[in-house]
Amino acid sequence: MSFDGTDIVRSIRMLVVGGLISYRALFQWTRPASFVASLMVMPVMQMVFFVLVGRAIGVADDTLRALGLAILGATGACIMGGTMAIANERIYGTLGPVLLSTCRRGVLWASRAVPYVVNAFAVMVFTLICARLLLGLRIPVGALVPVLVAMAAGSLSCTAFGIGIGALGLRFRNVNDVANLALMVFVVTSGAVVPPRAMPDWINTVGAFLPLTHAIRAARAAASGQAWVTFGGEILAELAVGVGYGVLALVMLRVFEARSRNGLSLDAA
Amino acid sequence: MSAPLSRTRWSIRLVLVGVRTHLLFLAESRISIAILLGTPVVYALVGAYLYRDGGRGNDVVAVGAAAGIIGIWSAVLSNSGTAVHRQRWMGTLELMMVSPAPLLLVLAPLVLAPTVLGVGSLAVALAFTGLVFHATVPVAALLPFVLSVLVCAVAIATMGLIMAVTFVLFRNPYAVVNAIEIPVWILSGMMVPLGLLPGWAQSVAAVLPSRWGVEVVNDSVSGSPVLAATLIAIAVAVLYVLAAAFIIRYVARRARAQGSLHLA
Repeated sequence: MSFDGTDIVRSIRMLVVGGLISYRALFQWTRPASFVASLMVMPVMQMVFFVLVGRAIGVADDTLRALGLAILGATGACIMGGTMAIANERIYGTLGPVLLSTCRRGVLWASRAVPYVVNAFAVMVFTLICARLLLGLRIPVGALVPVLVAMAAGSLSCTAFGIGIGALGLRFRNVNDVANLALMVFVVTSGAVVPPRAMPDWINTVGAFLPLTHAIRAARAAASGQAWVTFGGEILAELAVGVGYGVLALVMLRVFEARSRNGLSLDAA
Repeated sequence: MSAPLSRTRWSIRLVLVGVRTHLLFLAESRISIAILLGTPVVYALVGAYLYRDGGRGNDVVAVGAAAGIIGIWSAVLSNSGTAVHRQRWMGTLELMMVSPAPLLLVLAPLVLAPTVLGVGSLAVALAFTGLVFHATVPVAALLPFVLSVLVCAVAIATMGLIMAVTFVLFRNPYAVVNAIEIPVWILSGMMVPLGLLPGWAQSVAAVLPSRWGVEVVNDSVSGSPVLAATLIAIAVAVLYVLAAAFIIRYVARRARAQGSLHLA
């Protein structure tokens, strides 16, 4: 199958225009009140809460904690957004037409992910700014770029994870509950709230294969002045996790779509 | 034919049947129940590891109780705050509004049912801390602790009642639900000592029934006297119920006058 210039233009338009339209249509938090409450207030309040818990215990320096929590705050945008990007097609009755479309599937599903990657990164940056204003978080100027790169990598990998959960929405109902469970898991495994040294090894092992863990480690390493080899390795690990979940999501989407066609049904449960 | 019930017994029966009905409705989704019960377990786990890492392993029971109270608030907030929205979506909100029973008694089960589930989630959180961290409430202190939890749960339920009667007028209550969940954790002193908050925040916290409910539970866990905090919690909760009764009269009048209840 050839892939000429027209296809490239069409794919780019699908990624940008199609992505924006699907984001506006499917993401339930685009209303101003919902956006502010869920993607601005909630991540900032979560960060403030856990920083205060740390202060209650007597943690000496909550700068690195606030940084990790700022990154963790984007899980809602990534996971719920990625889930809604696909699962809400079922709720709105447009799943059938989507699966009947002739769009290249990789471009189609990637177009769903792109707005949420941008959204998640914006949430992280906003939460970081609030950490500076409310909690006095200071990041050395030289560490700013690595921190932002770590956040971008985390946005990519976490959104890929969310798209994977959304893929379940091609066959199953009520995947939003699965997404809510995933949000709770990230609080435990990401290392943003509890230092890895305090957690059992098996939880840290699980966390190493989940998004955001390496991004948080990379950001904290950069902010604390560690060598670029350290945080660079963590950023690469985060991207590898993201690629893994991206591939898994694409495979799941392809398998579930094929089963839907073969079974002449959009529902398995 | 049996004699008609007195108004008091009729009201109590109305609420109890309503609570049972809404509990059965909430129990329909097993995964939602799992999330409701699992949320305080997650926060108990995280809180316990944090406190142990900070050298405060003796406070794990208090952390578990605080996590359980977070579970009560989350259950009340997410279910009663959105219960009215669900009733609107199912087309039964108008029927509730025109029912001959006092509207406050009709809405109360929407709040009490998730409160019951929330207390269950607290029990699960404490069972978890007992199993994993071997930290339990001493047997001698169990009855005062249970009573303190009930006071706290009722205090939180009155906050849910205010939300339930107010959200009749909101088309999108989810935004408010997401915005106020964690601020109430902080202002109520759930895992966060109120002394860490600035003066203005402590003043705001003083008018929250949950703040006093949490203090009752904390005092019970630490073995301190609970009477003063209990009386304040009950007094503030009564004020919230009176406020809810006042608000619902305004809401009902406005809904009837505008005839737009299904739209809000």
